[in-house]
Amino acid sequence: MSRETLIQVENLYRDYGNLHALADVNLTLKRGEVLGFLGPNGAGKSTTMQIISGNLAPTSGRVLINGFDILDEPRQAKAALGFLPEQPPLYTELTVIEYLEYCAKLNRIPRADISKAIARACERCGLGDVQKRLIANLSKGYQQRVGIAQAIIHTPEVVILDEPTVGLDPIQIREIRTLIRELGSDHSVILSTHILPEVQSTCDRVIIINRGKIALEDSLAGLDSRLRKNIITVSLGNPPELATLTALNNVDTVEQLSEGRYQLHCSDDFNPADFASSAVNNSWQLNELTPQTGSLEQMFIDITCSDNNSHQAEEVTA
Amino acid sequence: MIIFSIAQRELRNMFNSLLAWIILSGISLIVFLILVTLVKSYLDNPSNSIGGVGVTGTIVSTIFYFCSYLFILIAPMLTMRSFSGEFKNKTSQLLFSAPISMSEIVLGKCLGLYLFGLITAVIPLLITLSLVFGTQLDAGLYFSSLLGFLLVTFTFMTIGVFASSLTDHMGLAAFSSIGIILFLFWLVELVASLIKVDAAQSALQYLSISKHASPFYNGQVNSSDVIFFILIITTFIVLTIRKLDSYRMQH
Repeated sequence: MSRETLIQVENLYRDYGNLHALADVNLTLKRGEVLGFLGPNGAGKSTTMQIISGNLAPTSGRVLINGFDILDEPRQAKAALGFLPEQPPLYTELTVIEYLEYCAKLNRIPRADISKAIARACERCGLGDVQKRLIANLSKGYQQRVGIAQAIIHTPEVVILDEPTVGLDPIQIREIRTLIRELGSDHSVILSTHILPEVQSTCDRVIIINRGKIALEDSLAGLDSRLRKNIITVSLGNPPELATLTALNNVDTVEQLSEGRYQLHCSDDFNPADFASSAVNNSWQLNELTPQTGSLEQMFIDITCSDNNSHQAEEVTA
Repeated sequence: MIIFSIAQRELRNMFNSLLAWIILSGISLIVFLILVTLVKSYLDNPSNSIGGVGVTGTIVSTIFYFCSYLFILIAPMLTMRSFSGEFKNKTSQLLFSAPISMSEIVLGKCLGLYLFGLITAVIPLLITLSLVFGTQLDAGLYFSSLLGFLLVTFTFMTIGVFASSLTDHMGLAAFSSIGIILFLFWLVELVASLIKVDAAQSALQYLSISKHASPFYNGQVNSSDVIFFILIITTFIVLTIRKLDSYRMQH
């Protein structure tokens, strides 16, 4: 079966007055995919999620969910969609069961299937023990789970989660991430977050958004290889002058970490084998040659900060 | 039906908080006190009966009339949460991302409030029915008063829902609905009396809710008055739907 496209976002623009919150955002989500939507605070993540879920109208551009336009055929589009906003939309004066029953009705689940749907959602989200408790009395982690249960109660094709782990303790975070990974097996998921390990541990593909524009889009594997290439840590028993290392082919800069230990920042064409042979030829006594798995964090900061700088530059020239 | 689910939720929401109970008990107490006062003054001097309309006219209609006045304050208290509260708690996102239309949401909310209006109507209804033990009641006047009360409360509720869709600040929503209600209830007549242009004057006078409500309390059910209430309720429902649709544009 070909992996059909469930969400297609085309040329999305959103202005708040003079502020351009989103500019030309395009994204697609395929069936069974977990897409990480990454960006610093205020980058336009929530705005995008709100538009995809039909809570906000775009200034221009369109959103297709399962082939239905969210503005022209909202009912069909929204039926395929489960949404957990940044702040879970909970009626805290209800019990978990009452709340989920209401959500089931809102999502037009036939009356006969409601209790089955509630039982399934509760089981998936581990809510079995708290079903009869008031939502107001639940811990934040459990409230978040109720929010996720609400989003999957009608088994939508797409689940959109907007910063689902904010404000949780580390154990809760791990549990929610496990839950998200499980969701990925039979739903497509868009996960918006500014927490990088979350993306690394749950997503297949990553989109980094900054200042309302998509700054980078790649699969997680592609990102890993992209990260691995460029930084190499070497340790030499008989190191040459720093300048000699810098002068090597495809090495951009060299950083000395400690006596005899260096970090090479290389261009894309750098081949570690070449370095090894020159180390042998010059008797530098190569002890260590470790490709650095650069953190996503570094890349994230590089992308978002470099963009900031260029933006500032634009402002200066303007 | 999704509208009924929303209406049920809205109604439950009122009874989950103290507010509904306080309102119901307050109305019971007030209606009871008025009844006692009216009965006493009627017994003291039966000839004072307003316009010779008998006990139903003096007591029952007056009570329903007074109760509809109470709703100038009660309706905004009930309706301020219906959208402002949802905006504030962000639960509106649950409604907006569900496969339901704005019209269904608004109609559901209004229906829930109308049901509360019906429940409140039971109180003056039962209390005044106690008069049956001492006298004969004019059934026609009785039901036209009840109908008048219901139409006025439904109108106030709808205005409240509209005001509540304007802002996520509940206090502001309550104040603006009191403002709109007061204006349409009688300020509009005051303004009309100041205007010297005939067409504008009669147009403004036509808008007055109290002018269209008072015939009901005199036993008259004019189709033109009923249509007026249906029109004004529909207008505010449509305005609310439009407002919510445009809410997505602004925020």
